[in-house]
Amino acid sequence: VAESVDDLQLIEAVVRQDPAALMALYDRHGRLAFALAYRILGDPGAAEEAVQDAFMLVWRRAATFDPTRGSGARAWLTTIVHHRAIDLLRKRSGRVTNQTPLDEAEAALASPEPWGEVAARLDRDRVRAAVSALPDDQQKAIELAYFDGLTHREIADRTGMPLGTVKGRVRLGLRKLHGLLAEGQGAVP
Amino acid sequence: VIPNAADAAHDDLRELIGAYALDALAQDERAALRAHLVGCPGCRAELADLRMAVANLPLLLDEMGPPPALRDRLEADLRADLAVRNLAGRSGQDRPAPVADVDIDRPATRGASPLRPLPMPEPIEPRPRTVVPTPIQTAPSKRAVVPWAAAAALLLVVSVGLLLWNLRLQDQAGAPAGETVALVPADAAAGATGELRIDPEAGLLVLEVQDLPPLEQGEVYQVWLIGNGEPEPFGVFAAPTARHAIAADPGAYQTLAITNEPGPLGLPGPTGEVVATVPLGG
Repeated sequence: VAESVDDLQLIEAVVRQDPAALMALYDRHGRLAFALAYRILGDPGAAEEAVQDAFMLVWRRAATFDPTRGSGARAWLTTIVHHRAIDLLRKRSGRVTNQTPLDEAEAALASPEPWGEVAARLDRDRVRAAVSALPDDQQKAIELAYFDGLTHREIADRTGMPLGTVKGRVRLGLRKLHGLLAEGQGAVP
Repeated sequence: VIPNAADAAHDDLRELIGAYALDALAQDERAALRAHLVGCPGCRAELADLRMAVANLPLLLDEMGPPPALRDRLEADLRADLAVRNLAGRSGQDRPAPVADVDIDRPATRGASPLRPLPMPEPIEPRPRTVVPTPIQTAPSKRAVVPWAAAAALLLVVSVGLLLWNLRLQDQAGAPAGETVALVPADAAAGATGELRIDPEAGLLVLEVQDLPPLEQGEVYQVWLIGNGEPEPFGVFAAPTARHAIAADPGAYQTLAITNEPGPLGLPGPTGEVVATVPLGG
């Protein structure tokens, strides 16, 4: 894949139903997508299923990706992968608290999010440093939700924290993380 | 001035935004917050910020190479999807178009499935010497709508004719070259015959079988391609006499094998008795 081709061009080509463009997106982001699905599901077979479903959703709904308002392609993809993996995880464990259709996640993603350009530029080191800078309890609550697929109630049950505390930690942690990631990024509105 | 009750309700809902951004709400809370977001620009703005943070969380992970078979399956599903759209006549796109101005094309022929029985109204005896795409059917098919959840595991169904037509559109290739190799039945399938037509240019194998041994209740015939590694599943069928298209790069495999496996989807790896094989010559 030519480096000069950016994700946006690839998504435009996917909208034109070019399978090679979707495969190029896969070649570019599939490793991160698989790592995420595997981290959540802990099972390579299930992770493959989540990734495949997610990329097929991108294939069918690339036209809904709005580069002027939406997130970067990597963020868009990993959000879909995350949603699919969480859904599989909850189905597998018999937890039926949050089985939302994939299309619903997609609809949510179509809402205006003017940080796409910034998010696309953030690199690994910066994100890791920012997360490390969060207080441990906030970090832990975010990780239990995002990577272990627990709902905030389940986090409260598991950790013994009151539900209100969990909500607060998750929200505060993400706000702080956003602040750290946006810091020094001139494009942030 | 917002009444206190509404204020409190707003604050309660706003507390949920973090969990919402993390996909960590129960269905009822989720619905309540979504309804609230519609009318609350402040909460929407906060959600956008928190989503920015969430979208970067995957970067905490080290990348992992997915199994190569996943790429193959995805690619095959894309082709099958294109064929199904064409079959349904509702693609909304003129045709598969290459990416203009950029060079992202790669040989896109290696892949699992799609495998599907051709409608077989006529007997096979007068077998053509070359595989000719069947006329493109424009009538809508009841198979046109395929649930993707099933297709991911199952193997999408497209007719040989449409698949060839589709590949032709993309590849702009001429008549398929290729060779025909006879099926080698196992001892338990002594009465079976068949052949495999190999079209490397189109990345297509067309398998014809006659009189495979009858299946047990609930079983299917499953097709495998075997290269250097584990046998890879390439679809299932249930008719003892049938014709199937398989999208795959013949050069990547040495052998095609057919086994009996539990239906309706078959298995990720072969467990049943080998019914027949076809040497691909590597």
